[in-house]
Amino acid sequence: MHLDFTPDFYLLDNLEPLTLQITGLSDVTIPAAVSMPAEYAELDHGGGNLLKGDRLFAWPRNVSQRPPLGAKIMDSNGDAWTILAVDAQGDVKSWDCRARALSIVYRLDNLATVLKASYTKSACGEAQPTWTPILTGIGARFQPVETEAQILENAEWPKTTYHVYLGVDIFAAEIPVEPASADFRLVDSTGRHYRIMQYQRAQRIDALPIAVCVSIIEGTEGAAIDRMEDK
Amino acid sequence: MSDLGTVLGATGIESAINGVWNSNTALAAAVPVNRLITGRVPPSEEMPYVRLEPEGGREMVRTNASLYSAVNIHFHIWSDTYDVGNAVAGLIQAAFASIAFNWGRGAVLDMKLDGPPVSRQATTPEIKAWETTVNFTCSTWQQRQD
Repeated sequence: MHLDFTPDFYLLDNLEPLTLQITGLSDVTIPAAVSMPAEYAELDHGGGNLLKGDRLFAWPRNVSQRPPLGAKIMDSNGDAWTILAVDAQGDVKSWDCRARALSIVYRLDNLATVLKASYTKSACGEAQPTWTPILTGIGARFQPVETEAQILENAEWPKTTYHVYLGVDIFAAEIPVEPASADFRLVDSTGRHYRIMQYQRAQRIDALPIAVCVSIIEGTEGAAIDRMEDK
Repeated sequence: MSDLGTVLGATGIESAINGVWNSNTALAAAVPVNRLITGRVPPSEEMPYVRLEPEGGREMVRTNASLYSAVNIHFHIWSDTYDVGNAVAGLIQAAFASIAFNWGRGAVLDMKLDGPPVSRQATTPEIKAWETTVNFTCSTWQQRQD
């Protein structure tokens, strides 16, 4: 016996329209889908500033092709959910999609700027950088990881490492940033400069990228001047 | 050679150098004397600053009352740019090369410049700075304390 529950699907309560966005294809409108309430938790240790929401969506299979992993679902509130897993339910002939929304809590101190250096040569031939913003207002959580005392060159230098969770993958192909190059800096909302030492978790669908950074502590870029001004 | 006479209040070669530095208008304007530091530099120090490094003296002549020694003095200038370090190095040379001064119970009889300044750039990612070093060999006299 062949049972098709698809017509019954449209009798469910709390249906909502969705838009399925697949890279390289036109958007697909899903007129009615059902979803479970999202469960939110902290994505990583970020002082409550890093959120991941997991949610289950389902819609009849005759409405769309099988959605690929990494495709985005725009819900009726305009929130974007990235598909992590797809199940083809046989009985009710639906696509069941587990999807995740990653976000950095919006606060004025959770913003970053990316600077790029352009160089001029001094009379002695030293390459002197001028820093220009190329990306501004990026959602970012500057999470302090460790600070250590070090004595270099007969001077005291605090070395502070941060994990900077970025709302934008600056290693994406369309963004002209080579994150670990000395030609780029991250700047936090207070204007402090950071050198990116490592860039991890690029182009992941389940996690935010992390720039492992050290705070620059000397020179016109450094924090020593900040401290002097605070005196 | 230029004899600056007695550096008031100085108790030894390092404090006398601080005194000479402070009385040199051009040098004190470029790097205030409170940024001339003997020994370890605190993390809050603003560039440019200068670290004064005295090196152990070599005894030359000993009499019943006096000790004549050669003492190496190194000025390490830390700056954000090469040009600033080089400029301060020039001021240090102008202020200290071939001078004499005393602090009552001791004196620098001649401060001899050991070659031109040497510059290098720090290689640590979080520290972008130049170190320019100016070296002197000082002929010193001091009253024997032993």
